[in-house]
Amino acid sequence: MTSPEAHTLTGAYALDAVEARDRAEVEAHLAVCPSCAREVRELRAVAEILGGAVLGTPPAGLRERVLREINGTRQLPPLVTDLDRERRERRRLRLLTVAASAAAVIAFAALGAVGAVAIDQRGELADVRAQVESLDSVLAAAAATSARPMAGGGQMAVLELGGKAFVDMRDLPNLEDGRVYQLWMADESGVHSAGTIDGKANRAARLIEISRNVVSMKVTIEPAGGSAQPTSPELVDVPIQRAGG
Amino acid sequence: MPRQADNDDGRSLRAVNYDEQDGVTAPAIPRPATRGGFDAMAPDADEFLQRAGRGDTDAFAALYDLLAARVFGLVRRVLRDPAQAEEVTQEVFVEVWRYAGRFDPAKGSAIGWVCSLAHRRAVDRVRSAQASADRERRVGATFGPSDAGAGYDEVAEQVELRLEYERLRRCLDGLTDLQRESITLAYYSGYTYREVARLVAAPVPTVKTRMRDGLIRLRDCLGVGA
Repeated sequence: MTSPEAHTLTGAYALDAVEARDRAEVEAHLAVCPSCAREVRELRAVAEILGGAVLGTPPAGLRERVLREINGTRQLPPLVTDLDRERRERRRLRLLTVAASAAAVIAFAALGAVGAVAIDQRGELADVRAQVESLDSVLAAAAATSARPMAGGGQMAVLELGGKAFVDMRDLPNLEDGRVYQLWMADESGVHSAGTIDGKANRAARLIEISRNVVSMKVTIEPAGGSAQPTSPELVDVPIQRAGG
Repeated sequence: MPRQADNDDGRSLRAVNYDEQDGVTAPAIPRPATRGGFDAMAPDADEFLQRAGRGDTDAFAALYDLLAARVFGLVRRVLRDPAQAEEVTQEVFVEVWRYAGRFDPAKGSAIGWVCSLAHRRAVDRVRSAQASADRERRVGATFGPSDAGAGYDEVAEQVELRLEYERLRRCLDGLTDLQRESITLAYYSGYTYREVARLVAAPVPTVKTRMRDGLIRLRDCLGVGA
């Protein structure tokens, strides 16, 4: 199907009034046509209102049957879409062209915005959300150049920012119940806890104050609540690269 | 919340730290009100669905209570058959549970997500092999162009008398007959645009276009969108 044709199908697509073949073609077109994707989002919002206009009383017993069935149904892990991956890749490429110290400066400037974010929470919520998201992407992209794979799955990136370490962990496998990820700061004297991360988290980010002596960040799996010292082999060891030497 | 407890070591800046379970950047900040005031329950639904995505069955039950009437109402409207509608409603909610971790609030509301899943499943069912022969007959013979308007009358009958939906009715009334019929036959009866074209005896490209410009007119009338 040519683009102009897919273009005129946005209405039918938003109403689910296309056949499977058309649907695939429209979706392929939406991936490369941001204005069409936007139109579809808006028209789907209209369809949503049409949908909300017809209510019905669900049969007695349905609630119980649904709840019983989900109790034995496994949930699917979050999906990293190609689009997300592409977007991240683009950010990474953009940032790779910037010197590491410059990236740190950008990220640090964004950190200033976070102070304001925390204070303004009751105010412009939409703005806040956008700011936090853009902050995250700047930090994550700057950190991505240091990403290391973790034993057992997932990856961790660390970016040093004037006495703080931004730690970005992605694609973390779910741990069994009662287990958490624990972050450690390593220096000459040994390792020190830098907090825990929920064992069911898929992604986590932390900004941690570190002393000049800290040479790397490590991760282990520990019982809920964390341990005073690691009790399992480390999954990853990411050296701290200090901007400007 | 666990994410708060995780940060209690005092070394952290709360505004930056977060854990995610659905691939979404989600610091603990409430979402802004949704468009047009159409869905006062939207923020609740978003929260319940996200919590369900982390395996919280109580949140899932709350989501069911919030949306069951909408899902069942819509599915029954498309399928016409209460027994099938019940089956599909159950399938929809189980699918919501399975995929809850993949819900991305940045891309739309939970109600929209559940609603469009329900509609898609209802439409899939109505177009399934079993039903298709029967439908072919109906589209080809039983229904004529003069019957097409029936779709709208029945919808109008079922439209809830809430103020918001009064507005929807007014907006539907503002469409041309062909726009309104094309949209309601497709959405509420699950016909494809080609089937609708046959039902209303209009050229396929025309129907396609009327669906699009009709929805755009509704969008503007309802004040939906960015």
